[in-house]
Parts: sequence; structure tokens; C-alpha cells
Amino acid sequence: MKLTPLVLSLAFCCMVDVARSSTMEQIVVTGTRSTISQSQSPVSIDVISAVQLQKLSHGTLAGALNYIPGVVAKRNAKDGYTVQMQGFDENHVLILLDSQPLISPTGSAVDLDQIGVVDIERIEVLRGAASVLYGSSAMGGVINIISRKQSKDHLKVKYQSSSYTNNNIDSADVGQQLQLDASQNILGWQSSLSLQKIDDPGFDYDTKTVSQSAPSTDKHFVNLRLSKQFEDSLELSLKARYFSDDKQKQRYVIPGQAGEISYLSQVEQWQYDLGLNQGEFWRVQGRYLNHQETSGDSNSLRDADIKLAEIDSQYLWNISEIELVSGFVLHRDELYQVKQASEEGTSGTVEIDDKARDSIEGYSQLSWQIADHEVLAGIRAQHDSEFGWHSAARVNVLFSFVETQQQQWQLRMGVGQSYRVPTLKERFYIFDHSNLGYMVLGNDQLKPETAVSTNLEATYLNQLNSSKQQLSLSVNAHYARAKDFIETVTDVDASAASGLLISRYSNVEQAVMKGLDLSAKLSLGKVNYQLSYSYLHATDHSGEHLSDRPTHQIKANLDWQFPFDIHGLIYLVYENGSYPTEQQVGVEKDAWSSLNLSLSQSLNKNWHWIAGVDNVFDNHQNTDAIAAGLLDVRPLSSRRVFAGISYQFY
Amino acid sequence: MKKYTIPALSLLAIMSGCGSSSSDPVDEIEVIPEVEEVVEEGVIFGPFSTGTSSEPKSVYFDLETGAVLELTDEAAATDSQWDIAFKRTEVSLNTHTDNTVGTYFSTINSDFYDDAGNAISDMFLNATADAELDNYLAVGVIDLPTEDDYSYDSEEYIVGDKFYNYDLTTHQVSAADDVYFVVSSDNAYTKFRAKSLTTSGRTLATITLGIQHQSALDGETEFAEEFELELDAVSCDTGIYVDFDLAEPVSQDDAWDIQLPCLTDSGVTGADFQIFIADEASALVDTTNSYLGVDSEAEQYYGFKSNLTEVKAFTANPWYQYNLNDGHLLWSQYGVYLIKTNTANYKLQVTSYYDESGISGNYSFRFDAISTD
Repeated sequence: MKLTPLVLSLAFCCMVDVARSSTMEQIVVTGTRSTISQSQSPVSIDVISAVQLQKLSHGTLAGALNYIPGVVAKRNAKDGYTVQMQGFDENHVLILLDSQPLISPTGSAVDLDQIGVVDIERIEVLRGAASVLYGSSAMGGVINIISRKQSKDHLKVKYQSSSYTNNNIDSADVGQQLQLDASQNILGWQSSLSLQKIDDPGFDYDTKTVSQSAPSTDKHFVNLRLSKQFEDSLELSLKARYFSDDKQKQRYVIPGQAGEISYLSQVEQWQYDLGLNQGEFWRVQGRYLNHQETSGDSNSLRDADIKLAEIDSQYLWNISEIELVSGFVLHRDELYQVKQASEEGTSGTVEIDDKARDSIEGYSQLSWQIADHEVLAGIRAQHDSEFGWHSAARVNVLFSFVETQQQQWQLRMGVGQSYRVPTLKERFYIFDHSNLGYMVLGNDQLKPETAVSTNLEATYLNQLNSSKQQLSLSVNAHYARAKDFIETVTDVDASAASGLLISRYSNVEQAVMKGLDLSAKLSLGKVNYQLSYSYLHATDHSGEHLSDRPTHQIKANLDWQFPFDIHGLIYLVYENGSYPTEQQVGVEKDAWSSLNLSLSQSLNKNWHWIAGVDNVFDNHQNTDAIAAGLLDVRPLSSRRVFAGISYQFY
Repeated sequence: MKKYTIPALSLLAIMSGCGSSSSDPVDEIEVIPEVEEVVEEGVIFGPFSTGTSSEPKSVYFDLETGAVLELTDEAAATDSQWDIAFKRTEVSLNTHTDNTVGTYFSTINSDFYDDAGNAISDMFLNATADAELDNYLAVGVIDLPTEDDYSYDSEEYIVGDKFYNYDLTTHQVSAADDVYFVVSSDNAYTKFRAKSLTTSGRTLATITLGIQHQSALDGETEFAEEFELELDAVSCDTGIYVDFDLAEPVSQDDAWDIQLPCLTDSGVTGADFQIFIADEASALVDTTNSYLGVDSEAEQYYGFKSNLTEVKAFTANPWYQYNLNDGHLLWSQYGVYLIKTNTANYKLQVTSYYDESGISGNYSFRFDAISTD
């Protein structure tokens, strides 16, 4: 059953099909670009609600996605957070905000630690290829962050403090987070404002050494949204977002000098969104993002100015049992990067000289409802200013079998193409370390990375004794064959000619990723259990295992509602079976686990508190082993105790 | 090396008179400063910037005056005043005939490397300029090497005269048939050696080369069987040229890979005892016949060099180790170089490649003259 805006409200309250009227049901958009109930989406979607997010996060999305089965959360070299899905690394998982892309910091993927959680309504996680609807990078999956659209008038403040306990840099260090969330209807305009400040002192495993394990950070988020509903379901929305991040971490003593080298990162990001839509029938969204970053070691800082502009228009036709979604996207990326001058009076070294790429993209996806079953087919074509035409297609099928009012079987099958467009850095980078004998150069002849993926998922839903009790079992098998992965390889001719080791981005790598995800959820009203297991086998063209990916992952969650409206959440993550990179000389630890606990309570309609412990057993990497070139898959993490309180004025 | 002049007190009593009369003037004492030169050893000079990776610049240093000389590279090529030059990681010594500077690397801090020659990271990472001062100060005249032990910057031909042996007692020349040369040229690799040769007077009359060819373009990964190519140099006029692809002598205008120049001595014409490779070619010396072929993807790791190569004396004993703690930094071994100029002997210890902000390419070092008096 498709949910158009006209029936959307009815869908919540009046769905007679027991299997579809569960309190667990969520509305999702990512698989179809139109609203549909989670269980009826022909593409499997996982959801984190705003309530869950407040329990799991510490102000940003970092770490919160570790809750989702099959998602592998990673902390990257810039102390940002990214995710892997179905064996694809962070560069091949697309992060969207309201179905439009975000900017990746220079040399990295979108950092989930740069996304605040205050005005997020839910997060939708699509596993598998989705380039037909979302274009570049949607190879391993899509994480679509859905911001709050409509909200009752309210004003809420929250304060939370935290400590890294035995890993504090100074014993008195306390992390602090302050949130303000307000929404008010003013002259027919629904206005919302959220402010957030996060002050994290960082942590250090060994305070006797100069190097610091995790940086101190100071983040600010400001979100402002105005929207107005006109006649005929016409809605205009304006949104401005500001983000700043100031990061610092001591790294080394300067050889032969008294001072120290620190890693520094200063980021400022502005985002402006303008949207106009008539219900779901058509909409036009524009986005402009400017990301300015100064980062690097203090003796080698780089300035990057990254811009993204996109206009995304979409039209939806409903003809009987057929729904057709078509869209047209204009997209532009710009990048300028310069290595700062080392002496006054000299100019910096331009590494990417104000380069840009433009693309025009069009897509169409048709869904055909046949009784309880649904067929989905789509295609996307893209013309890029650099590499010309590229296209992708996919087909998905959903078979639903309602055994009884309580039981339902579903089978989802999908085959899809996906691709990733070379970044401006991969095309135009000039990294000059010739005094040490090497350079890394971009390659303007790169073509998109591509993959063909298949997913097969079987789901069993059983409404137990009441509508509040449900058992859900699912098995998902996935297989992807990717080619033309972009890696840096030695340019033999250039190296021979220059006498330097010249590495150049090239389309070389092939990979095969296959795996299995098993998930069981049991909801008993006041107690919810979830247990999942993921298996991954990822190899390159020569059959060698891809590094830095767990073969086995287990996640277990227990969400318990105690008396006095106290909620308890326990979740466990266990991973093992990662393989070292070619540069790593051995294995220190290829398995890790983390146990997280939290308790929260609404004392009345105004007061709410939360407290908990992340990484209870303080499992973390051995930095000495990392420095010695060993694989240690345990994250750069620390036990953290936290407590917060919020007050809702109205 | 810093020199200070400090006043020393000496008393010069000037007696203006004798006697004990109370009216006698008081003895007048005049203090005359006497200048004594004190040399403070181990003072660190610098940092001196050698530019950036993309815009490197040379710092020419005169050890005698302890000063940087403002010289362009062109002027420095004919200047005899500077002694040592720094340009990013490259350290050069003056080769001017009026000031040919040599260096000898002492054994100070040789324990920073294990028996296999691998850097012991902790030794480098924990060493500081202050802690290594005593080692530096301990180096003195007793550590000066003999003249023959000094190394100098030089140029050499990659093949040059290495293909033959000269017996100093019999004055006989013979082919060094155990010395192989691998030449990279025209997308192919060729390993060759001199298998035999004959002389005529002081010229080379004939030479037989053993040649093994590997065409990377044809996908070959190993050298082919060796074949012989005999070259007759008696009628040498513009030189003997060989194209390895064709496996035969060619003319000067063809795509030759190696060349033997002509030599006429005492009316006898032949080839000189030198072999040069083409400008666009590169080569390496294989004294153990260890190369079965060249992996074209890894060519840059083999150490191929052009026909004429600068050989820096410091390269044999670099002062640093790179990237010991994954920070892409250069760490000094705090080794002590003994340096001989045309006028004096010095010791020198590089203490840092960074300024106080950690900017690379900024040399700091200590140096002092070693008096042999």
C-alpha cells in the first residue's frame, strides 16, 4: 500500500492490517523517494528514531550508527567517524541529509562527527546499491538523515557532561554538551531554531608521552528553519545550518627542537537549503554548502575551500497501481586546496587549483503494486563535465505473503548497478614531497568506479499476543562485484623520468564482496531484544582479503522499560576477522567488543535525565602496536561515563 | 663555534715615587684589560631554511667565518669560499680546486643501528641535542683520519671504466667479466658485460660484449639467454655505438644505447676505455649477477642512474633517519662528521631539520675547528 500525502495521516491510525499496524512501524523514503511504511518498502530500510538517537549519541552521529546491524563504524585518521556497509568502505557509502549530499572533508569521507542530532527526526539506513536514486557513492549503502519538518511549538534545553575516567588527560577534565531546541509558529511560518555546543577534552592512554590519543574538540551547531504551508499543499521551506569545529591533538616532539607538533583542524561550514513542494507530487530542492578547513600537523597546514551546489527536482505520478518517480539533478563541486607557506613572505603551495566538476543527472523509477507484491525498476543517466556519460539501472522485487493476521513473510530481491565519481582530489591533487623522494598526483583521466550488487532478503514477522508484541526475523544475502576502484599506484614512466617515486590515482582495483546478515528482533512491549550477526568475505582481483573489514560482526541490544518510566538500554558490539594492510607487519588484535549501558527517565512532562557508560570495559587499541605497524582493530576509544538532564518548557 | 673576547685583569703598578712621606702621592694602579679569546664549543647554529619541497634553495656555509654566504647556485659552482651546502635533505661539499672539501663520518652513535644496519627507533627518538653534546665535545684531533679516509663529492659514469681490470704490476688490461651492467632504455632492459677485450697500444682494439635482453613492451619479465657481440674499434672514427634492440653496432644518428668514444694515442686509433650510456637511458651496476630480470612496475626501486651521476659524500652516511614514528619526520643520528677544508679541520653535528615551529628544511648544526697544533 503506497502512502501518498492524502492518506499518510490515515496510514498511521487506521491501517487495519495487523501486520502493518505495529507500533514498530516507521515511515521511510530512502528506498523509493516517496513515503512508504518501513515494512512495505521494496528495499530493506533500517531506522533509528530521534528518541533512540538521543540515547545513543553524544551530540553527533559519531558512534550512533554502530547500533545498526551490518554497519561498521570507523574512526578515521582525521579523528572523524565514517561507516562501512556490505564490505564497501566509507568512500562508497553515501551520506545524505534530506536526500541530498553533504560535503566530505578534504582527504576523507563525510564525517558523522560533523552532523549534530538536535533537529533530526530519524535516520534511514539502506544497505546495498542505490545509485539509481542517489547517484555517486551509493555503492555499499545509503544513510539518509531526515531532519524534522513539522514540529509542535516547544522549547527545550539539555545539558550533558561526560568523563573519560582513567583516560582523562587531566583528572578534572569534563566534556560538556549544551543543546537548545525551539520551535514556534510565527505568523503562519513554522520556525525552528536549534543550538548545540560540544566541548570534548579528548583523552590519552599514556599521559607520560607527548602524543595524545584523541583530540580536544570544540563544536558549534546552529540550525534555523522556516517553513510555511500554503493552499493546495504547497510548502516553502528555508533552512540555514552553521557548523564549526576546532580540534587539537599533540603528536610529536620536533626532532632536535624543544617544541611539539600538534594535529590541528579548524572547520567552518555553512549550508543553505531552499525547498518548494506540493505534497509529494513535485518538489524542487536547492542546496549550497561551503566547507572551509584548515587542517594538518602544525608544521604542515593545509587550507581547503570546498563548495557544493545542487538543485534536485522530482515529480511523482500515480496511475492506478503504478507509481513513477522521476527527477532531474544539477550538481557542482568545487575544491581549492593550498599548503600554507612555511616562511613569511612566501606563497603557499597550491595542491588543487580551484577545480570544479559539473554534472547533469536524470532518473526515473517505476514501482508496480501487484496485490501484496511490488516490482521496482529504475534507471539513472549522468553527464559529467569530466568523463561524459554514465548510467546505472536496478530492479527490485518485494513478495509479501500474509499467512494469518499475525504472520507475514516477505522476500526482497534486488539487482542494481552503482558507481562512484572520482573526486576532485583524485583528479587534480599535487602532493609534493620530492625532497623525500616521492609525489602523489591526481589523474584527470579517471573514470567512475562501478559495481553490480545483488541482495536477497527474507523476513518473517509475527505479531504475538498483542499488537505491541512482535517477532521479526530476517536473513539477507548480498553479493557485489566492483571494478575500477581508484587507488594510488606507481607511475613507472613518470618515476623513471623524474627520479622520484611518483604515485598517481588510477582505476585499477577490482573486488568481490559477499556476505550474510542475520537479524532477530523481539518486541514485548516493555522489553525489546535485537540480535544480529553479519558475515563478510571481501577479496580483491587476486583473491587476497581486503583489509580493515571485519569478517564477523555481532550486535545485541536490550531495551527495557522499568517502572517509573525508567528506560534501560544495553548494547554490545563484537567484531573479528579483519585482515592487515600490505603495510602492516603483523597482527596485535583482530577482534574487539564494546558494551554500552544507559538509563533514562522522564520525571514529568518537563524534566528528563539520562546517564550511562560507553565502552564499559575500556577496550581500545594499543597505540604502541599501531606505531610498530601492527594491525589492532580495537577502536581509538575510551570508557566514557555521562549524565545529562533536559527541561522542556512547553 | 663561537669566539668570545673577555677582559682579564692584570695589574700594572706604576710607582710614581719612593719614600714614605705622608705627603707622597698614593701609589697609582691602572687596570689594563687584556684580551683573551675563549672558544665555546658545541654552540648550535641555525636554523637555516633550505626552502620547501616545491621551491628548494641551497644554503652555502663557510665554516671558517661561521656564516651563510649569499650565493646563487651558479655563483656557488665557481666559488671556493663556501665549504658545505644544504638543500633540503641533500648535503654537498665544495669541489672547487682551491677548496676541495672532504668528510669522514666518525663512529659516534653507530649504536643507533643494529648489527644488520637497521635503525633502532628508540635511540633516534630519545636523542636530544643537549644529551648528545658530550659525544660531540669528545671528538678531537685524535679522531682525525688519514688523508685517504676522507670522502669527497664527485661525479662518476655509471658504466665508465668499470668494465675492465687493470693489473698494476703487469700493466695488462682484461675484461671484468664478472661485472654486469643493467641498462634501462627504450622500454627495454639489457644486462651486458665485457667478456673479453684486446688492446692496441693504449687503446681498446676489440671488445666482446655478453648481452641479455628483456623487452618490457613485449611483456618479457626476465632477461633472455646471453649472446655475444664483438666490436671492432680499430677503425673507430666518431665512436662505437650499439643498439641493444637490434643487437648490433649502429651509427651515431641511430637510437643507440651505449657508446665507446674513440681514442688516438701515439698514432694508434681505437676506443677509449670508457663506456657511456645514452642521455635518456639509465643503468645500474650488478657485481653479483643477481638480476634475472627487471620488474618494470618496480623500476624506481632498482636505483637506476643516468650516465653521469653526482656522488655526494654525505649520501654514504646520511645524518638522519626518516619516519621512525609514523610522523614523516627526519631524526638526527647526532653523528659527528669530520670535515677537511683547504685551510682547517672541523667537526660537525646536524642537530635538527626543523625550526622551532616544526617547519622542515631548516638546518641547525654545531661545528668547531679542530686544531692540529
